[in-house]
Amino acid sequence: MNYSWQQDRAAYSQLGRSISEKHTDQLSTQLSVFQSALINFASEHGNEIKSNLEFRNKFTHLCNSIGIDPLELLLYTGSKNSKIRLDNFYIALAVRIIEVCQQTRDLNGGLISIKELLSILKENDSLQINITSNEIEKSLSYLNTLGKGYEILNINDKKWLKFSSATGSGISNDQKRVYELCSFMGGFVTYKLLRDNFEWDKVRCKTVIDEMIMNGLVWVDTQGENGQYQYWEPSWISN
Amino acid sequence: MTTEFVFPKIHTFPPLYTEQPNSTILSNQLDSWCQIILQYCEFYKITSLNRNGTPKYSQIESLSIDSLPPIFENKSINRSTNDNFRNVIIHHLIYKLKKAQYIDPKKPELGIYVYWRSLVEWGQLLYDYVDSTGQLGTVLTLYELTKSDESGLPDSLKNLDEGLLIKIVKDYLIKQGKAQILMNEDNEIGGVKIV
Repeated sequence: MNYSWQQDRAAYSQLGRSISEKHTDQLSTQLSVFQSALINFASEHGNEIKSNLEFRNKFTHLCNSIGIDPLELLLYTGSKNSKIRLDNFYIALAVRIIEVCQQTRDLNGGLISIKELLSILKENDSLQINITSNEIEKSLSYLNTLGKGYEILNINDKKWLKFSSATGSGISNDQKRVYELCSFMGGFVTYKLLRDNFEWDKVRCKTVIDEMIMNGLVWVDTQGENGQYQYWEPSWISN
Repeated sequence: MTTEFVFPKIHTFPPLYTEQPNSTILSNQLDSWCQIILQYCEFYKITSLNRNGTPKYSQIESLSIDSLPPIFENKSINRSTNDNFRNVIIHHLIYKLKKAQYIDPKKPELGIYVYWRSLVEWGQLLYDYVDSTGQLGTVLTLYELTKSDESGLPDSLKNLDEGLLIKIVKDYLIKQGKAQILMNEDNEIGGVKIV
């Protein structure tokens, strides 16, 4: 008696499992079909979405409810033709770039290498769109109307994106030269290196470095050779 | 156990071993350190650390705990944290992230429990094991709960530190009304009953 009860129970739970598996499969197929339909819809009715406020609200609401970032749709529809990117694409990309800059500011003090930026953008992107550093520059040019908050710097032939930090201070020439020397030295500078290379006196070294520490542009290492303090640029960690 | 824990790249970043003066950076730095500690302990199944950061107890019996690569030192770049900074990191792990506790708050020199698995998750594992083996309501010795080979003890619970086991029972299961501790005549813990 007891035995058959256990058998029943096993059979029921087996059945239950297979039903719920089937449901999950069906649901996820439906969802992905729906997603691609939505993408098509967005590219076909792009103008309508843009111009009709009520339509746009409803559309955004729809996207949210099935877990699609409308921004990603914009990126995707704007990049459908891989040769000619649309304005939409650059604008959406600019928003993405700003997001990354905000997220990483506490770590890098507002200076990020384009290489790192690209790899983070790639990581966050579920639709696998190929983005080049030229496109980053182009989409940043769309932000110029908002003031010079985002700027490309060349340091030792490598491109960096500088964005205004919370303190609002820009990157001075001296700070830029510190970063140049860092990249020659494999990541760090010391007062002595600054003196030998740029003939800065101690006061200038201290002023520049202290400000960079304050802004999070360099990290301090007190255990350098011969007890010399080393000042490291944090992008070393991700390079 | 032949494989060795691979430290994240930041572990070879020399300034990581110096307490950063910029408070925003410092808080990021402390988070990084705590991540390293938690990953390291989970990898080696270390459930407690000495006060200086060396491993104190691991569930893996075959592990020679004294020859593991140190957490707070990196010989390849000749850097190590000083005692003071080490305490700051451990303080962050305990009070900010709540991922560790002193083994005995009155005797911090005894070291800390490290919670890469929380007390709640441990308690759940223990409860599920006792439940699935039909032993709810049975008095079980600490030995049976951590060492026994006979009753299908899952790997996750095998060789659990008895001190930690008691903490899981006292701080979680008893508070949930799911367990009782029984003392023997010498006033030691004789067994645990999970209900």
